[in-house]
Amino acid sequence: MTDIVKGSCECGGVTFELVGPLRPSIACHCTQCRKTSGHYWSATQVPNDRFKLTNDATLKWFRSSDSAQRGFCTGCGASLFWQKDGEAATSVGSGTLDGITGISTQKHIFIADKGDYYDIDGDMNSTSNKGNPS
Amino acid sequence: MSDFPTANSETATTYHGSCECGSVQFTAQGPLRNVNTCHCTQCRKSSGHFGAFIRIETEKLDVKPSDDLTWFSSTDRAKKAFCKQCGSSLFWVLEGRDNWSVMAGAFDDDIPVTLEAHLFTSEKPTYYTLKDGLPQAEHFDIQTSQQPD
Repeated sequence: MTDIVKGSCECGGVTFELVGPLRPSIACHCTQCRKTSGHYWSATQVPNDRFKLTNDATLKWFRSSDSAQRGFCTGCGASLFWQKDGEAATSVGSGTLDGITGISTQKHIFIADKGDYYDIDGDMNSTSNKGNPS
Repeated sequence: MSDFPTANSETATTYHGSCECGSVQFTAQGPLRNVNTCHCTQCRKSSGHFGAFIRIETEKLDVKPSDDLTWFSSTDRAKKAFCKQCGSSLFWVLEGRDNWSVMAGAFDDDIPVTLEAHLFTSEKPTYYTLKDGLPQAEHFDIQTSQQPD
């Protein structure tokens, strides 16, 4: 596959390209994802050999747990990436992608930690109280 | 710091919020308005999915000063705040207003509110659907309590 999907943060300090096919989006309602996104986070994922940073001038990695790190833009604060230690793959916030992606939402995870101010009634093909966005 | 809102002395339910790393902390005096979501390109890029916010008068907000609280001019009239240590999205402020929109996910406490409406659905991507039956606006044209003028 040579389908390329481009994406960026809001200010353009971080730009990237993903080579398809993209994994369906998985929505994560864990506390960390809720904090970083301001609501909850939903991400596709590609192996790192199909993930190319084309501009990382303002990219910063934050260790969000003892087994994972998050990438965000220090220029605009965009919540961009998630990487689990030992896995050669990167989760990418689906909202940061440009144009037509062709993906859909596959499932919701960590719903035991979701905020009480909303219900999950959309793309609820499956849900899980646990799991991670990998 | 003079540009931070400070709490008044009224007794009301106080809700705590913070970024992921805890460097930025705030409190909001209730009662709180309901939550609007925003599917505009800027909110999608910033959140990684879509935005959800509660409009709160600045006199009811108390943001603890932090060197990590960073502002970004999202448009010529709007700016948003995030933590430069952990990247958490925190506030959205429209110029000239006496209120801030606080990201709903930033609250540590349970908040007794619900979603009210979805805004800027004209810019919503296709990878998720909205099936909750709440009012939707292609732009800011729903007569809700949180629309900008």
